[in-house]
Amino acid sequence: MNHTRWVQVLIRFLPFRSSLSARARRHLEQCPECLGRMADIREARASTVSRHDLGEVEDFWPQFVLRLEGPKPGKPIGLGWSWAVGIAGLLALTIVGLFFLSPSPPQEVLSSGVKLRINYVRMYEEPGQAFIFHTQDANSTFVWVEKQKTGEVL
Amino acid sequence: MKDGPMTDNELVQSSLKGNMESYRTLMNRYREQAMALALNILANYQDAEDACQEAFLKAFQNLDRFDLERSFKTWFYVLLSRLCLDQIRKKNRFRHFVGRFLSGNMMPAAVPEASNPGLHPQLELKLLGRLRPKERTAIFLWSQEGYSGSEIATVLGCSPKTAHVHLFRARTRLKAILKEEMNESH
Repeated sequence: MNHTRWVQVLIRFLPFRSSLSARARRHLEQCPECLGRMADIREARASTVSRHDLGEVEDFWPQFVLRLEGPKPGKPIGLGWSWAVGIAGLLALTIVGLFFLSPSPPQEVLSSGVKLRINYVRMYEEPGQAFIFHTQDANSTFVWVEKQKTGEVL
Repeated sequence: MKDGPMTDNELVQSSLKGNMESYRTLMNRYREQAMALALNILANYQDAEDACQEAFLKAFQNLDRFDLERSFKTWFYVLLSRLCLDQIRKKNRFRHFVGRFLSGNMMPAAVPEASNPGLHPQLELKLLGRLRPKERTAIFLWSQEGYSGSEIATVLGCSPKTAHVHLFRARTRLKAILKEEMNESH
């Protein structure tokens, strides 16, 4: 490898006179190491595709311009996260709607002073007993439901 | 006014100023070499065309990042080879995924045997299919473009030592394949 590098340096840096050219050529034609290396390159060149092996290569320009101007072909426009954002927005609207539009108790119930009335409670498919605790500050009401004890009649 | 064709870097500078014709000239200057490199890596004409198209677009979009002190061709080859190697990686992942569901006989080959329109009919792409993608890249750059080990390393994004290993393996493998084929034909 050092040997061929020496030849390359010689060709690159010395003034390329005809005598030098002839010497370099003679060397390349006679030196077994250089000949082997050139044979290697020829072999590899024959096994790989070169630009000369290709027929008429497509002009990439028209497609390039199209892709620069427009969206990527095959990708739907604006469809990335937009569907998820849309669904989230719809969900938020539904929740807000339910909160504001849910039916409130009838006016006569609200004006009667009755805040909570339990007519009948079932617990584990059996009639249960309900207790209503109203706290003194009147801000909270607890409903306690108990399973009916045997023999007890509601 | 300067005589003769503009250099690559002059064309890049002109493209950066908004002259699209300059970039078109660059594309035309390198489209055949780009196709040859992509075809050597991917071994499929259609895939190679797609990769070239993508690489030219990517290069244009990143042109402002290009260092004018460096070679445009090498910089472009870096982009193109990475795209090609990524494509192979994606295909391999898909093949492994599909391979879990298919029997061994139905598994696709390492390099798909696809029609390669426009390619010289005598050219043997199957030969390249027996080398690894990075080895194919290295041997193409070395034999067709005259790249040195360090230039190959730049394109492959590895150390020069690793690039030499890729090249050495490719040459050894290629020799063995050619010898094998020669023995078979006799």
